[in-house]
Amino acid sequence: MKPDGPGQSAILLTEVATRLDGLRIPYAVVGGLAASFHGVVRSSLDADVVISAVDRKAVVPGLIRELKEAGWNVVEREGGFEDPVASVIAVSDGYANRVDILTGIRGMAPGFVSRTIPSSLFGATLRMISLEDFIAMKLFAGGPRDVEDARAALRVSSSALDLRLLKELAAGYGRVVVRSLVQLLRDTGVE
Amino acid sequence: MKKTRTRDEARENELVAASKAMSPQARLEAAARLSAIAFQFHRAGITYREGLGAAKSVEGESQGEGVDET
Repeated sequence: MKPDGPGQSAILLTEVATRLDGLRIPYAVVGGLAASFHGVVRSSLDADVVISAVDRKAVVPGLIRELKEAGWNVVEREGGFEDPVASVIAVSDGYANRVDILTGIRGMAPGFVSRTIPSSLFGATLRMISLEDFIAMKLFAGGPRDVEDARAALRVSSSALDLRLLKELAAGYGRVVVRSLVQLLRDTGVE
Repeated sequence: MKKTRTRDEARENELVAASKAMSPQARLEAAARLSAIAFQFHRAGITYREGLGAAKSVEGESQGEGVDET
């Protein structure tokens, strides 16, 4: 399935994911689609994935070349010195559908790829970020919508939660995230 | 304020209950379809604002006609 109009960033994501699989680059779907997967259904105009690359400088140029060869517009933006995101590869098609590929997030446990959950979307298989990784990274992002997404995920999917793992992952992001998690667990009645 | 908060909480509880009733995969598919609809609203909003801007601009020009600025 290919996008045939605007508003189809999720379909573009399935195509990008196929390219990532072809290049054997592990990834996890994050952002609004992951928020809906774990929590409350919401819309988002673009789609986001985070990739796992041990040697980013070796992997990213080949990935960009592959994406350009597929006919998409590809722009890489490097993160600043204090930016927790190493860089973002913005992939868009002729309909302004867009997928942002995050090439790494500071503090994110490298094992996140082994915890991804396969899910089908429009006949393709996507690897969704785990509930615990999702909540921890949302608390790390820390914006009002991020915290709301984390809260919704906890309320909807708490029966599937590995609380010990979530606490470990939150600790990897630092004390501020641990404090946010304690507050959130209390607010939602999980702990 | 209290009434608004109560209404928001009730709405959030409804959303959570509806989402719990769906599988994660069903929520993922629903999000993809909802995003396509949301994009149409997004575009319509842009078109509306552009139309409003153009109308104001025409109105401004017509009001400016015949004004002696000397």
